[in-house]
Amino acid sequence: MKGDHLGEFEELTLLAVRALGDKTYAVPVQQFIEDETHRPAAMGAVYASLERLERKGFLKSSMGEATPERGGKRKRLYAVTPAGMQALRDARKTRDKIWRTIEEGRRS
Amino acid sequence: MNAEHPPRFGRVLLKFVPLGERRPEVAADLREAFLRRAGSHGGRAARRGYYRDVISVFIDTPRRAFSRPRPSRWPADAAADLGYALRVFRRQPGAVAVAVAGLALAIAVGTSIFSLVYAIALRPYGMTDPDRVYRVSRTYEQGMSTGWTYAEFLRLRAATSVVDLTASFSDGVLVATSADEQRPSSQPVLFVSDNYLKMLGATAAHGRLFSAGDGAPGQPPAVVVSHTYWERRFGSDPAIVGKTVWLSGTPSVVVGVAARGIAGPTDRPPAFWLPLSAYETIYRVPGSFTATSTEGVSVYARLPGDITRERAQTELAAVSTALAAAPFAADAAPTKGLLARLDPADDRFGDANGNVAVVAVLGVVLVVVALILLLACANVANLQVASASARRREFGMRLALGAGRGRLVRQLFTESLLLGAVSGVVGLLLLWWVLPLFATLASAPESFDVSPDLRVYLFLAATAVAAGLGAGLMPARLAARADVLSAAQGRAMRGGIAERPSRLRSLLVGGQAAASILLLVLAALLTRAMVHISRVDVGFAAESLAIITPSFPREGDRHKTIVQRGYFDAAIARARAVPGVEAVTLAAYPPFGGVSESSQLTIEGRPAVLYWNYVSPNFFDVAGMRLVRGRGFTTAETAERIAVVSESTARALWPGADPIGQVLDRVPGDARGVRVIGVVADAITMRLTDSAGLMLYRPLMAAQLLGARVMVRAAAPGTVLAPLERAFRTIDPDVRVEAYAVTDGLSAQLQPPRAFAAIAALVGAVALSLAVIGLFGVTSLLVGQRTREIGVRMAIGATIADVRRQMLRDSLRPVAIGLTIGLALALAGGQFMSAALYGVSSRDPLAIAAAVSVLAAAAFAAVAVPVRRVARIDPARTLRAD
Repeated sequence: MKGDHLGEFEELTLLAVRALGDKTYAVPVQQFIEDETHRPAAMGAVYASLERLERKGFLKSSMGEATPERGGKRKRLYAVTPAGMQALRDARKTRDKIWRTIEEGRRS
Repeated sequence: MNAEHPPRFGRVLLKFVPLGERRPEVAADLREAFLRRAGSHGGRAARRGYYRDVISVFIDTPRRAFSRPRPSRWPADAAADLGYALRVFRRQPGAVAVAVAGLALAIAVGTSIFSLVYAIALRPYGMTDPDRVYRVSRTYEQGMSTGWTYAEFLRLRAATSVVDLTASFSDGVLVATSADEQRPSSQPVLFVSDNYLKMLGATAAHGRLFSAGDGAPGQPPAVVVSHTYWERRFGSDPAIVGKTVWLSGTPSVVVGVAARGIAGPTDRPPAFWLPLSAYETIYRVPGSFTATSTEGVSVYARLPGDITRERAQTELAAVSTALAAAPFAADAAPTKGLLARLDPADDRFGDANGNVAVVAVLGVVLVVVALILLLACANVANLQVASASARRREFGMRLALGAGRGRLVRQLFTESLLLGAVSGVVGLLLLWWVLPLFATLASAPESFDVSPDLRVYLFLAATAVAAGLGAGLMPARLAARADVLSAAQGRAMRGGIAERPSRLRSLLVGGQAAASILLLVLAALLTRAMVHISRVDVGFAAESLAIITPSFPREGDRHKTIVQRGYFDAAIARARAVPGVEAVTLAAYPPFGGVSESSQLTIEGRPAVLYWNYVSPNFFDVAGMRLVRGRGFTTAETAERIAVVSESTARALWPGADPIGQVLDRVPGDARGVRVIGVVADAITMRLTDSAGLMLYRPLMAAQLLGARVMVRAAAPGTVLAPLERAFRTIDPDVRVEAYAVTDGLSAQLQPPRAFAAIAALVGAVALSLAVIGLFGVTSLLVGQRTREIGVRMAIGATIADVRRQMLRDSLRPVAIGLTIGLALALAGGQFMSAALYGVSSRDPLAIAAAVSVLAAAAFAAVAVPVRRVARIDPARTLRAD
């Protein structure tokens, strides 16, 4: 258990949900990650990541409506919670800080 | 296969993932992801992605993500069951070893049969993106064919713009690795247009594939060797690239080795691919595969990613219509309704009409495999039933301590599955030994890849699980009826249950007898068919004939000059001079030479094939064919339009009339017709199965000498072959000669029935031994369990002979019942295999009698041995023991 820490793939997943405008589901998330990272993301990994993020309170989920193009099957919609947003900002802050250190080091 | 649905196997796999209530949602997600990938990356990538998703869902997803926590102790229970099963097995190592040996043998034999059929009929063609590859069929008003003339192909290819067409032509060559190899082996080869291998999506494992320069005239032909043949014949030596091989005597250079698994859409995987231009060099046929040549080629096309089948079809239709409207000058009439149609290249699993060719073959194979498995399972089930009845007390105790009946059933299934798993592993080890044996028995050509692949291993795993479950089914039912009270009392179960085990055992023994008689009848019938076909009276002196085929160099008119200068006169003289040769004659198509000329007739509304041959006047004499009416040809008649027909031809064409003097006007290339002057006795000269082939002989004309062969009669034709070849080479060293005994051509035709019979005999033997093991085990148990009863009966005056008779009767009754049922099934199902019986009736009494007596004798022996032990029973001791 990683506690409240965000793993790399979790961070990608969380960012994907946010970038896809919330109320999104597993298939677009998988596509988003594949398109952005140019490497295959297995659906099982996406599910696992979504599920962990929900357990950590960074995502919340609800069942969506059935749509005909999915053969009338409902889908699970995800949205980023405020805690999730905070975790994303924290992660970014950490990285920014490190990058600043690198760039200062180069200057001197 | 199409890109609208995820692969079926993947969907089935997904059903095994414990998804709980989220199953519909996940299935829909994966399907949507599949469709997305299919749209952006193509069907193949989408399928691969789908499998990855399914597997990842299985591996990566924590169980609780999908299902509510259940108070399940499943893993712990399974471990306990497994440990218990191991302890049970340790108590009876002998019985377990016999069960495992039987199951493993059955699994290995079953899997071997499957892999052979798989290699011959089901193995993938090894094409990249096979659903983009289409065969271009030639349909016309009267029907369709898979072959185009080469000239048509060239014009089709020149006129199409959206797809690139390829052509292939299948043939056989003799392969030698040195110029003077004595016994070169015959192998299938495929002559292909230079883009053919690229069309398959093939890559080279070593060296390269064809390039445009490979067909240059004057160069030795470039060949690509198949991976399988390279492994078998060249020991996987990469240095083969650049070396020379002799294909039917023509030095050819190996330019590359194709990657593993590439066969292409053909039922005869080639050992070599060659450019079409090499045909002329190897077979010495000038003008073959040129802009006007009429060799029949198969045409294939790979559709580029952006071209739909409809688009390509539309263009091909237009092109072929134009082709039909402007035929070659040689073609008198345009082909009516000519249309090039795209059909899937791989139609073995369903062609355009929905016919599935492989189902029938697979059906028979699966029935045989199922029967063998059934036999082995019955043995294990017997063991389990026996121990289950001995373990009634244990089950009763566990029930009393609070175990559920389901738990007991699961325990028995765990034991069976463990047996199945262990047998599967042993079977796998056996497979590596049994499979080559089967491949040898079936004499699979070296270019066939019979080595097991993933699907074969999956089949093995599936049979192992099926065997385990099948074996556990009956005993588990028994355990489900276990009874607390009687067990706790330490007594045998009363009432129905006490009788059930023995009834179950009878059922199992009967089933074994039925299964083995089916397999034995099969083996006996195939053996009979083999013997029958090898004893067919061919109607001429085949055993004392040899054929010498000269092939002339074809540069310019040299072949004509050589023949005109009297090659055949010299040949006849030299052949006569060879010691041992009794007589010499010439024929265009010598018996069992593999070539013939024929025409289609309609006789009384039924189609018939009339074969033609052109022979010297003394042909009938030399061949030992009896003239039954009229006369033969004379040496002065070589240019006359006369003919000698076989008896069945005379009967078929002029029933009830005198054939002599009749005129047959349907002669190919001769509209004026031929007059019949004689009738010879029927002879089988083409195919052993053609007992009533219609034959017509005409005098060998001077113009036909070019294709003639020399036939000699000798008491021992095998001994004159080499001297004949030597003598012929002295006439003209540039003429290649090849001599063979007619019986060689004959025995080549005996190969398939021999292979069938050998495999069936092996399977029958395995079946019989499994049944004997089972019967022996059951009877031994029975004698052991009935010791007390026997003791009582002997104490009240029964003799040992009485008791033995009783025991034999009791044990053999289920065998007799099973045998009767199996025999009835064999008689009912026999007609399905009549094609493989070469005229032997599927109810052949001799074969059935042989199968029945073998099984009866084996069953009697299996029962008699344990029953003999009755003599050792001491009535006084058995009674005291109670």
